Amino acid sequence: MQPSDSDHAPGPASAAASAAKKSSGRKATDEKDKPLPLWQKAFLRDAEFDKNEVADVLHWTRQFAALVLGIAFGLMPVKGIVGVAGGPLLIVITGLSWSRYVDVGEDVMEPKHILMEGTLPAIGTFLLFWVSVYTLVHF
Amino acid sequence: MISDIHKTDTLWVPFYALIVAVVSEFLSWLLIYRTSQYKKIKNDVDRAVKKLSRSKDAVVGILNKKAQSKKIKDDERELQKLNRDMYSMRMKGQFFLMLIMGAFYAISASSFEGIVVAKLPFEPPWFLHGLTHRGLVGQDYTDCSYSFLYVISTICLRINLQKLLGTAPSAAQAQMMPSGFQLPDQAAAMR
Repeated sequence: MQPSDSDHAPGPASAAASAAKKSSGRKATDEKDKPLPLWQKAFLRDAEFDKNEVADVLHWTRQFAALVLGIAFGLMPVKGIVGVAGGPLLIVITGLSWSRYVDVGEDVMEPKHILMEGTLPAIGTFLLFWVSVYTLVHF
Repeated sequence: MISDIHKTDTLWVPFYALIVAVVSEFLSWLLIYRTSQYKKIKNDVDRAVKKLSRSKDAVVGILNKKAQSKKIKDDERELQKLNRDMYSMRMKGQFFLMLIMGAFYAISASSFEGIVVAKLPFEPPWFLHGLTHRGLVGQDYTDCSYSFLYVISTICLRINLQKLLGTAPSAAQAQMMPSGFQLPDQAAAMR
């Protein structure tokens, strides 16, 4: 993750960047001009998101990653510190990758919140599936 | 010596946690969310969050920066007051829920006393042994007790249920709320 240039409140520069994205971004609507469901909008690189939408996408993206990683780690199996550290790290990176893909501005959500949003529940999900699948498959 | 693992319990424990999460949300709705008082204060908080967000995003000239700063402080104070009111309202209902969930946890944990419900793919650090190895005999700390599996099931299931039902606080509210919004049955499970 690249360090943020500044950690202070968003100023005119961020507002201007957001306005520029608004004018150049793709309209997140279908052919009949109805707003797209959030899960479809999440794949659009230039779509605009508000804070709650970013939080929701981060939460569910991390949940999905946690589910997949937990099952995969349980099946392989991955054991020890590699799993304990690797799983949560990959979960965090998944969310960060999405936020970079759609270019979430600091005026929408600060980097530290992007880092934390949905991470703890996702770690719970990851542990649950990792432990359960590991037990059921290998014992 | 390989511990005798009750593999059906590996599935039962998350199922119990799911039942508890559903009952907990239903009781929360009954005691807290459906009351007109809560709905009103939630609307007030949503409005205050939007107002504060607009104040922070407003682009003003250098001469008006002081006035904007004062307005932001006033809006933050108003939001903090509303959050405190909402928090105390939730806490009254959550206290009752804590008692019920704590009682359920105590009853269910006693029926799983001494039973290895899962095998951990890692050896937990010593300070977690009280949770991961609670009620189990032997020195194999990869044996998982009911408590640990119950806690991680609760973390996973309860928050996702709240998200699906729309009862989780919004991102803007969550970032501005006091840290006391903890899951009550987690606190019971950790004791």
